Amino acid sequence: MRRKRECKKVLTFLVDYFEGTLDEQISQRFELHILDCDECKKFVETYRKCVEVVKNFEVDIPEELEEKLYTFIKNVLKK
Amino acid sequence: MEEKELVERLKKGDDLAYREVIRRYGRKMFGLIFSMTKKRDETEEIMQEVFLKVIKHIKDFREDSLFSTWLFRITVNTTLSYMKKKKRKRESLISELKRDEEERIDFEDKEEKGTDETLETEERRKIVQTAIESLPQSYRIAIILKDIEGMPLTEVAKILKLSEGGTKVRLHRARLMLKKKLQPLVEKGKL
Repeated sequence: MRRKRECKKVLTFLVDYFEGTLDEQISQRFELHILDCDECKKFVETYRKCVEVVKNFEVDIPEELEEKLYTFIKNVLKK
Repeated sequence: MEEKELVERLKKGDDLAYREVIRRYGRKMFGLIFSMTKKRDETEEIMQEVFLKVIKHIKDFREDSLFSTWLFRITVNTTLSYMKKKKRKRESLISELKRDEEERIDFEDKEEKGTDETLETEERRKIVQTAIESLPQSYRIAIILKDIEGMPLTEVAKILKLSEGGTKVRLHRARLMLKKKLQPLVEKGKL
């Protein structure tokens, strides 16, 4: 029961943990729990990987659009 | 060029400063708007509208936030009101639901194929894009600004007009949704 409560807490700390903004003491407790709980360890690892996959996702602006926008802005500024 | 100088030049109507804004933030703006409209022509139209607003209001920008925060707040608001005007919210929701279903099947297909090879870059990209696009709009914006564009949480909160706590909750829920969608492929090392 106590363990389940600890698992639930881990979830609420995830964003701060990955931001590096988690209080040091809580961070240590978080890491200790992860070492001790296979379920949370697996969860956090997949969570981290998914965040990494998304972080590597990039969208490119079509080159001609940059020029088109610049021409548009120049015309507006001239008015 | 420092941000302060950039803003001063924008206020003077220097077109080269605008070119710099396009160079620095154009890609992020395009990605953010496109993720909401999913239409290139509309994205272009909205980008023009955003720059019209920047030109019109830059003199009122008091520099009590970062210029990029101000710019992205305009970008988000302009996109949302554009979509509202076009009454596309409803249509988009219906198509999202349909796509969710197609996507579910698509993910299952990928699962069933079960080859040991990792997916091609383009295919991986498409899967991640579909997963991001399937998120509810507000979650999608949070993920794009924070995880893809790497903005600080405080800036994301200002753009979304949310508290930091509220932004964290939104980000966490969005990540959980993405995790649910991407997990099978991530676990198999295909992403």
